[in-house]
Amino acid sequence: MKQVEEIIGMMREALEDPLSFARRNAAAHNRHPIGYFCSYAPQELFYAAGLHPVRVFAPEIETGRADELVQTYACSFARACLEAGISGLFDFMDGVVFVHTCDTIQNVADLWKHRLPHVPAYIISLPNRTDGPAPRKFFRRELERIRREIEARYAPIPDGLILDTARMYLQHQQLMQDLYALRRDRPAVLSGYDMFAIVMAAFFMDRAEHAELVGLLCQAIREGHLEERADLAGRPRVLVTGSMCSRPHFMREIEEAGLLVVDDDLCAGSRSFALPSNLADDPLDLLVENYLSRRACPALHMAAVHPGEALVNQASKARVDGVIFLQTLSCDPKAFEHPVESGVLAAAGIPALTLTVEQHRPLADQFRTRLAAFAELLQAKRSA
Amino acid sequence: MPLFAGIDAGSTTAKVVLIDDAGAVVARSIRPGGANLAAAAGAALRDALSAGGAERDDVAGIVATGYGRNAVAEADRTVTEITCHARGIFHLDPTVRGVIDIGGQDSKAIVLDPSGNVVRFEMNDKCAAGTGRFLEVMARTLEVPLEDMGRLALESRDPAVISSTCTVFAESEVVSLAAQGRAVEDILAGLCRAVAVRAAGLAGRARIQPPAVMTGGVARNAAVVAMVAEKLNIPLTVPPEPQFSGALGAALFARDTAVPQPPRVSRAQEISS
Repeated sequence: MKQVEEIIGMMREALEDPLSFARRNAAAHNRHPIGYFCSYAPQELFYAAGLHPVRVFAPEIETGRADELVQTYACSFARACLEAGISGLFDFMDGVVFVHTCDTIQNVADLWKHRLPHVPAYIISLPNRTDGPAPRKFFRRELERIRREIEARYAPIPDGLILDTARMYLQHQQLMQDLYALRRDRPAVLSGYDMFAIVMAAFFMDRAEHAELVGLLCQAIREGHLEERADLAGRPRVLVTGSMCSRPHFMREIEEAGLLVVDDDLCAGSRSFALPSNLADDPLDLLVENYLSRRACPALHMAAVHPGEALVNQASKARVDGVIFLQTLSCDPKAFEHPVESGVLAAAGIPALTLTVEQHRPLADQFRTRLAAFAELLQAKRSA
Repeated sequence: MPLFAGIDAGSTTAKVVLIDDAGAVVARSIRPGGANLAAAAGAALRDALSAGGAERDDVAGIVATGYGRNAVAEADRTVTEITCHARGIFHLDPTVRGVIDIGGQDSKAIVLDPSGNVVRFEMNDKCAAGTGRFLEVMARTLEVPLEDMGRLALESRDPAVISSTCTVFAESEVVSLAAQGRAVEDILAGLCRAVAVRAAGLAGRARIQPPAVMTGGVARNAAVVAMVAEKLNIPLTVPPEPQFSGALGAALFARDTAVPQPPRVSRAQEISS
């Protein structure tokens, strides 16, 4: 179907040159781009203020100048983003939004304020624990504060506009959930790489426009306009989890090893499109629910949810043969969660492979062998 | 009788095993690898054919494995070294449930199920510390033949402590220890221990259980094998030709393609059924 091919082809461009893609999209909608570093950044407030939220990811870059400011044991995402900022790659943005999830990113935010004042930084605190009434009260106060900062710089944002934007974002989240569900049932209609392109495009495109295109894709799959690809059918199904996956080559390498990514548990993935358990009529309360009711980031805590069990449930729902951890080197929060998760997966009999990666570097050759061996393992398990 | 070849194009050597359709080894060969792994693999294949009194046309299937597997032009297909080592070892001893393989550039710990399938595995990261290359560099620094390293290390009564895990820094440390007059066997024991600690860590992460074996070139170093066993607190055995288990596994996969095999069943399963 030509229209579907055009949509996917356009979204693949988001992987090739994300910043140019974002810049073009912002200009097309006559909005100023604003960067954000984390899925907990309340993009709706910035969108309602007439800005174009663009998620910041680590580019492939040598981190010489950032390494003068941050120890090399800080994660590659933080160092590469700082290097990109110093190199002027984000100068076209009206500002950047940091959220204090882990201490590394908070320290990068502090450095940013001093070193890069021409790209103003908004810094938002998060409650350390995300369930219960007190964290909601805390986060609401943070949203009120950040709203005042935005309004002081731009113009007052009416409540109704925030509410409409929040509902538009929720509608987009629902459509992405639908697309994930359709792929869980018929994964071979799209490669994991193309699904990743669709996900990443959401972070760079106008959200309402992206929602419209995802709606068309869902419709095309439901109506059978997208054939299952013969080269993908029958491959071992995997779910990708980890600290972050911001680079397309990770997905490409996984699928070149003969696997098919059918689901993910990534913050730059399905976690960004989780739907809140409760809705509210007040716009800020609705945002609080949207962000805090999702499964907590590894840097945060949610007493009622066991990270390992949640992952096993997701893996079972996606009927995967195995799970791949893309563990960012020196990402402490995820590193502490990893033994818990891999232990529960092992107990459930779900094979797992862990690749410790750096966000700003290509995959080492050894990892290709591991991926190929994992594909052989899963294939043998299926045949047994 | 058709023959089948497995080529293990490792980072330092190319190994070839030729088997017949019953799975019996007809010939083996090994060649140093270096920069041109593909040429080394081709030469090793010719050596094996010559040793087995066979011609290239006698070979009905070739599978390549190892770091350089994709560069082997003679291969019909490739299978990773993880799967091949498991297959080769299980063929030799179906009771084995764990394999610790330390090659020239990488080390791996593999857990097998009772049917010989890989259940899980761990590999070392990008760094060459804890691999055969580490020992090669140190042997050269100390001017000790590689093959004597393990024997001499076992003679040590006071192993030196090598604090650096980096090959380059460890080399400086070794030079410094030698300059201080430490006995060569003590330094060698310290180096073997450094490799053993990393191998044991890897095996621990993979949750290796007995019966387990050590393979790869480093398995020929008796001191490392003993130290890994001590660290893991499990017995470790070494097959007669520990460097060839990957090539043997590859040869068995080559035979599968040409001659369909019945499902692999362990001795324990045979007995229980």
